[in-house]
Amino acid sequence: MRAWNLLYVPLVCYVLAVSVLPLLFLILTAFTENDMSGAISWDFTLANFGELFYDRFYIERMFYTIGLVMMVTLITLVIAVPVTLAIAQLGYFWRTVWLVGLFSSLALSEVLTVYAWQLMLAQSSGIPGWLQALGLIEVTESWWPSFPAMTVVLVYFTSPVAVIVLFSPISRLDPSLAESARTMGYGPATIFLRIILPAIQEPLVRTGLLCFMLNIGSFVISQQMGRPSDWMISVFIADFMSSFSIPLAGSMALMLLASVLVCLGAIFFMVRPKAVAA
Amino acid sequence: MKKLLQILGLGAFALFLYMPIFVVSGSSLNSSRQMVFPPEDPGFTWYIAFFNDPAWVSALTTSIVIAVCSSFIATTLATVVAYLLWRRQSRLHEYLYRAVLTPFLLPGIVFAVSLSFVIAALGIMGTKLAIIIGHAAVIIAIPLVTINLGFSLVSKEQIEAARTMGVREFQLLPMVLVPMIRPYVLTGALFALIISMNEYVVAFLLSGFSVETLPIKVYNSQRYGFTPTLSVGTVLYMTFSLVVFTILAMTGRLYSLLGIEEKRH
Repeated sequence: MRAWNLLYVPLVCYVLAVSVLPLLFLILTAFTENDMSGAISWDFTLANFGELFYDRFYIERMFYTIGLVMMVTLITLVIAVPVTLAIAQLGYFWRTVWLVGLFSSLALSEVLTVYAWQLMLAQSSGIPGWLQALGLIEVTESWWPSFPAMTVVLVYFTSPVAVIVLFSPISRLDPSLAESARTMGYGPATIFLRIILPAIQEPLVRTGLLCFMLNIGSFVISQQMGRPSDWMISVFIADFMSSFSIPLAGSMALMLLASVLVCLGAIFFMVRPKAVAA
Repeated sequence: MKKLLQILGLGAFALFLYMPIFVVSGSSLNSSRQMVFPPEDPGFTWYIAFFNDPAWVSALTTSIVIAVCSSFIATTLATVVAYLLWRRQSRLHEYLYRAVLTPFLLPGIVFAVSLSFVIAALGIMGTKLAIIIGHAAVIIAIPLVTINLGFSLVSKEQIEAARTMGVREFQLLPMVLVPMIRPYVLTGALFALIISMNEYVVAFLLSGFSVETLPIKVYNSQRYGFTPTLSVGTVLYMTFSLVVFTILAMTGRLYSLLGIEEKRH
């Protein structure tokens, strides 16, 4: 049995290297003037945050980012729930075809997704051009970068994830529940709101959280599909990293993490009492 | 009526999901540098150009090397963690499990920035090894979920039966457990491999502008305008994913990625 315990050595090293140390280094970088140049300084300073909070720009960006990603998550769920319900009712073959398609599109890099959408919204190769060729509208430029384009691609990015994560709880729903509600004379809207939604409340919250995390942690879509005024906070973090303003990037990443944790805490307290009561 | 509505709804969603891929595939067939759709004088000119361009081939190779290594490391570690969790089932092991999942649960940019500090301190910034470590940390969640599912399906009776038939304790792992969880290990490893090939944020921040994976190369090339080679890269990636997931579906393993066991009815 003792030989087995040796397994813990690499595991603990691994957990230290990728889970514990990164967060420690993040905090260290945010509160010191370390810039990855080598020598580690331990002098505590709030200078980085002073620079961040110099005016209200980044605070406002933070609130904007959270609001935007929440809205995108809601849209994603509103699309994903009926789609998943419909896919779960298909036969084995078509259901599997759908899942293969969803997994492939989920796996596709956001860089490639963005590229595909830029082509599709471009005047020369996409929808604006086709509509113009049909004589429907007069377009002079491509539809990106713009806020609507960015929002659509953010939803595009998370909707296959949402359907896949919702698939197993939704396909396990007992069909006799909806069936008996129907015989009792309830309409489809009532059945959906009063029976199906409460039954998947917990997975729905979990899926929402996953989509929220995926979008808030990614910067490519926002940077490429939106105008600078549409950029999420992650775009600025990536910019600071590329321009070697490391302490600023660190403190901003810490601010993002703290804001996300506050949101999670709020959601947890909003959902938990209901879940316990139910 | 309800049926029709469902089919229309699903059709619209399929269009939303696959229209961009369709446009990209079309544009990759253009014969000139012009990015038009539908393609003019379609052919495979740009596919030949892609494979004749050392920069693109090297980006693709780098992506594959990183994906294979990180998927291997992630799957090995995930197997060990899942095995220990299954065998010991203690509070401590649950903490270990959660600690291993942390990088996946953090917002991508936060994890990438944090890890880059550790990577810089280790002095391996801008190496393939750095990206392999970063990717392994993120994708380990996938094999962990599938292998956990595999272990949860091993019943006490099966272990008991093996013991009765004379299987010794140290033979239990190679003779009973490994064959039972092997499909779950493979499924998790393949999915993790695909995610690594496509991952951008972590790779970008650890690349130190000196390693170029295919997504990084696509991102950098976009700045100099669109060329059909970009479309070729996208089509190759999409095709690879489709092939892998189709194989998983045909061998009946796709559903274990959802954390459920589902057989053809």
